Amino acid sequence: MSKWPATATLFILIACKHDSPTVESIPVIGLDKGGKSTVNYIPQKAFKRKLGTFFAEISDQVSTTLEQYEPNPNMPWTLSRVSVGLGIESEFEILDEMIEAEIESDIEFRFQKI
Amino acid sequence: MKYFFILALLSLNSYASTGKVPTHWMSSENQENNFLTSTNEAEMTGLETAYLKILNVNQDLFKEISLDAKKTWSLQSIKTELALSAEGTIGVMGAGGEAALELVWIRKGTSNGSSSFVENSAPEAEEIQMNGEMNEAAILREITPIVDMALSSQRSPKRQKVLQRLYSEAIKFQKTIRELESTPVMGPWYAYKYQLELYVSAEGDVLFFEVGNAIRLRLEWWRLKKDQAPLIQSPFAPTELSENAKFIAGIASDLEAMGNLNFENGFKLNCLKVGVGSTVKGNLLIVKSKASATGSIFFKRDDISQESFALPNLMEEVSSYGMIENNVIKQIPRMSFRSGIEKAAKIATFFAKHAKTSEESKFELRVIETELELFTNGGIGIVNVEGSAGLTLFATRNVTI
Repeated sequence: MSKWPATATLFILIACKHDSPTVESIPVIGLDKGGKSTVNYIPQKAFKRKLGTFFAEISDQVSTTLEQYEPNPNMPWTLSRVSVGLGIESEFEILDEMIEAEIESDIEFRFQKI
Repeated sequence: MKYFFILALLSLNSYASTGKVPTHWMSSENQENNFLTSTNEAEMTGLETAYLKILNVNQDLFKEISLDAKKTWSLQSIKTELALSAEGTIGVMGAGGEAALELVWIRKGTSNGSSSFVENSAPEAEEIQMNGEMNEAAILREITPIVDMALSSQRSPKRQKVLQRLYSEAIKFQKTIRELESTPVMGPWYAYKYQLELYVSAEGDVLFFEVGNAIRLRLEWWRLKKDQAPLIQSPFAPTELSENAKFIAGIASDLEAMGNLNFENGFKLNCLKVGVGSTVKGNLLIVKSKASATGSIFFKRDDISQESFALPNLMEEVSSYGMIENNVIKQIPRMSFRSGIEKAAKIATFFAKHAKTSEESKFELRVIETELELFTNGGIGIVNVEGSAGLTLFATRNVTI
């Protein structure tokens, strides 16, 4: 089995934030540069719209690309598993009311002996 | 906490609130009686609504995913990571944590395409499969191609040095797995996997900690169940057991203490991952933080009847476990650890309780990982984002580990 990770910044989520919980907010738990926990409340609609669109797009793209992959019969290894991780790498407050979050992906390929 | 949704989804009503877990869930206090019901009712209601809201939002994200059974590749699972703030607020994992979402595709017809859930403890590592019966030639046959492949991406003239040092570590690893293989299985819980993480530096040194641009390797052992042999063996006399065998048998016995816990929605507790290190003599120790763990031992639960079987629990022989915290070895009382495990299992029941399914949904919540922190007094609490987990408890349904 073999794996090669790749990381790329994919898009930036910008949304209004709240300092305290509201009926329609999603708490996002993170760590600041000092290692202390932070809580930002992002409106549910913005969270779903921005992440949901991206989520569906990347799913379609990976699925389509994988279907085009053809194992080389002369190679002892074949691609057997692909995972794509989406993580919030950093968050910045803008004008005390907005939050900008950088979303990055890690891609892992696993190859299996034939 | 990690959640895995596998083909068919849970449908939950939309609530809108935020909530905090009870303070004692994160503390070293092992409250044994009325654990869930004794907490503040309003607090629990707030936690439930917040938890459901997050699950619901996550599943809305999955709605647009197309699942085509005719394709060569299938989306096997989606993992979402939740987190707790230092004050106990539950939310989606944000900056500084692990991936908030992970999608896994598998090629149909490969061994990775089975319905089994594979815990992905440490990615980006080359795996070297070991067992106690391998001789020198067999070990070298196993490690040589991995070393060659790992070094092919670097212009390293250190092949022989890496091979020698890796072989030396493999021999030590084999000594430990022989002890694991000789540990009697005294009940439904048993150690079934041991992993040791190693790093090869640019200088060709084999290390237990990561350095810049190190190549990551993993020695791995699985307990193979033989079809003809019964899982339960007659217990050996405690005096016959090695220190590591006692360590493993003790924890397996402690896990049994939570065996009768009532889970809803078809979930079962069936795996515990313990981060471990070892003394100079090779004796296994629990680690306080997974960041300092050199290895992991996985305990698994099999559904077997044990009514007519007297289970030795080694209570007289094992009264404490060694734990490494900040490079200092401390002894934690075993009885506290035992009740801490029970507390952790009760916490897991809360998260499983709300994992309902719906026929019209595409994904179903099947695996719940609860990451736990072990305290010096033996207490166990759910870890917050500032902490580091040494233990991970898995509750699953409709999937094997």
